[in-house]
Amino acid sequence: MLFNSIEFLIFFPVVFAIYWMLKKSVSKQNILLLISSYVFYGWWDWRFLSLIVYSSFIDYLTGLKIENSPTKTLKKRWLLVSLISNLGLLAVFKYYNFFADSFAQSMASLGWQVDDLTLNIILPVGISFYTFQTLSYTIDIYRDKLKPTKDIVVFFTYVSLFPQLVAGPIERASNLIPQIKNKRIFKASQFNDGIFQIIVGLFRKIVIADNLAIYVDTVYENPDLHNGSSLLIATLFYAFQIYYDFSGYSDIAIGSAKLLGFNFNQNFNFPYFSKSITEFWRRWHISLSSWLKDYLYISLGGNRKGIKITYRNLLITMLLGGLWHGSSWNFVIWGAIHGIALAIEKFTFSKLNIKNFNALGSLWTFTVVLLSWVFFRAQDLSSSMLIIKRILSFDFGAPFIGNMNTVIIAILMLFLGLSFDVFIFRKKVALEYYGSSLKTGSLAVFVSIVIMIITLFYSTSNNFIYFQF
Amino acid sequence: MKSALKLVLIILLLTYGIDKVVYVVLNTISDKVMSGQSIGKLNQFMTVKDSIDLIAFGTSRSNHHIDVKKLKPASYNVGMDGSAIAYAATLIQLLPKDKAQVIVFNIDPNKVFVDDYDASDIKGLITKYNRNPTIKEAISDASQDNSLQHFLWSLDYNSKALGIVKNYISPKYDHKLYYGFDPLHITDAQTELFKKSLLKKSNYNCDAAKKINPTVWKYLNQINDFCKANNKTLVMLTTPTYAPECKVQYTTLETELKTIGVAYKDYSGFFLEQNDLSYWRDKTHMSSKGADIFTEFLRKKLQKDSIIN
Repeated sequence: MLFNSIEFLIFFPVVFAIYWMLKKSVSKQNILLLISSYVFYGWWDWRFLSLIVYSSFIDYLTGLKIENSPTKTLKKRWLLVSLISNLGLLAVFKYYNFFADSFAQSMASLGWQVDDLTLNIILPVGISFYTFQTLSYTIDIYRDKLKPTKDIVVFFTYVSLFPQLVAGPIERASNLIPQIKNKRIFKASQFNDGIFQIIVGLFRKIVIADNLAIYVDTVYENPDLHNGSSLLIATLFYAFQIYYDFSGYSDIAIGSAKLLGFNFNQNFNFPYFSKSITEFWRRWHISLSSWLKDYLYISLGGNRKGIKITYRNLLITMLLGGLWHGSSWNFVIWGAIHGIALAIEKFTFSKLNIKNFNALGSLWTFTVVLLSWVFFRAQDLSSSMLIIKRILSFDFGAPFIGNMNTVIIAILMLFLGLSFDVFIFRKKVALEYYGSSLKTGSLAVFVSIVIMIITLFYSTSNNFIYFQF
Repeated sequence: MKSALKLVLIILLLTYGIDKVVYVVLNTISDKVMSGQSIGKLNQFMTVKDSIDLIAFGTSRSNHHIDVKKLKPASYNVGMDGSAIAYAATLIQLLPKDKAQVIVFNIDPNKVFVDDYDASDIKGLITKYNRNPTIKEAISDASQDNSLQHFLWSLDYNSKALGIVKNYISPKYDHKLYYGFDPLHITDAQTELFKKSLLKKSNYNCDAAKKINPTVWKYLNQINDFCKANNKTLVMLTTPTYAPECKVQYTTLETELKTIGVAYKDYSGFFLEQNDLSYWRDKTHMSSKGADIFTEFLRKKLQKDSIIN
């Protein structure tokens, strides 16, 4: 079920109403959340519910086993069971075809023909998100940072809670499980925050991102037909499309959770205002970057083993971070660009003894991010190279316009979105808590006006980009 | 909880109110827009439909190929890029019931023998959804409406508001001189591009076993039934293309249309004997020169068949 669908518009108020009617019983509320989360997911394809149940069951069990194991060796074995089960699922559903195909191509380049090894596998929506979420649970228990829950409904609800199920934010058990266990109290301020963030999220997604997508999709579908100007504009548009698409999704997820009395962690914090790639990753997809830092970068040794190992760790973390997004070499290169940029910054910061760049850093950051988005969006490696070559050739002729109205709407809405971002950024109040700072009347007027803008300018072009991951 | 309910109630009431104000303002502006391919052309059609004697329907091929004024002085070409049979069939339902009118309908087999036609072109009429019951019913029947449109009327103007305001402030042309026909005057550069494009091989998949899309067939029947019952003469034809492909589909279409009493004329190969690059802008669209020659031929043919004087 999509957040921007009629189904969700009916589903959510129904769940909301029953949920708060059951406010006297946390366990009943949790059962309702679990059932409704499975309905939410099963709406897309009920068959893949079995994977979530399997993953939840394995981690529920291994969590308890790790806690109850008397020795470190035994704890490690149970952790391995969790890692292999979860990553195994991911390997089969997400990466098998990629590695099988890459293997066949490598063999072919050596002159050996290998039969087609790829399988007809559908990628289950959200598998990368809930796999990382459940892994953090067992790793935290292994690291003695978390006590496992014995309440199976609580744990299963933690894995599948519908606002964050298919595209995050990747919530840590230490934040979410206590909230699921304890009684939720309805707070008007939290409700107002939630409503505000949901409406902002919808505007970002279906007005800004989806209108930009029309131009981006047209140009990136056939990059060979377009000149440097069109490709540069499409890449710029994509940078904002993906930001507003994913941050919009996160806003709706976090806002919906607030209406149910949950506080999720912030997932985006105006990343394009960053002055370095290091800062960018503290502001972009925060739940993933902090996951990679805590469970991969630090596990590899972080910056504790010398400067060379630090660079290596940064690169490995970002390469795997890239691969997490999708099984293609383009995502690996995207990760590599970020990894190299992070290493360069680490080196520069230590040499100049500074913590961040000055204003010029914004230009450096945006340029690196823009370059990396080409690989992220292009259909394959050769298209990416062609796009970069054309842009860097500085052969800027008249750009492709397509439908003039659509382009004008996209630019106007982008301007509106950016102005709003600048306004909130300057206020130094997190978007997550802005709604409660408004009076009821002002909030209602704001929401109604945004609904009107959505009504007049929404586009239905795309699914959420991060669903494919 | 009370304050939350209060907030929701205020939002709903405010949204409802603002929506109606925006809707009325857009209606007022929109009604004055007579230029532009989507709203302007539709508005002009609505204005003239009861007084004209001949109307051409179809896609951009109809729009660029049939100079209706040469067929009948009181005429209009409502052919439009992006519109297909659902759009045209709905507009035909709006014609006056008793007035004798000629309907020239350009139909292309590559839009008929398709698997994925969903009548979404009918959305081109969405601005009239809450204002015209026939259009509302047609859009709902095609399942192309949005259930929120019953509450939020401004949804009728989704993605169109800006274009309406633009055409209101600065009309593209003088609609009093416009009758819907847009000849394509080509440049040498366009001819060069066309020459280059001819080197590319067509990738049209010709499947002789393919059936007429059931949705298309439903609309074809609807058009035919309306014409028979309401004093309309239906001229169903395919205008010329540079190199017609999959001739078997033209023959099948002719046979199928015959079963419901429609005489279909295939003129796709009209220029094949004496083809000239100057007749074309691209493989599917004739230049003004090509359109002139074809319209003249059509005029004689319709006169011969006593459809026009």
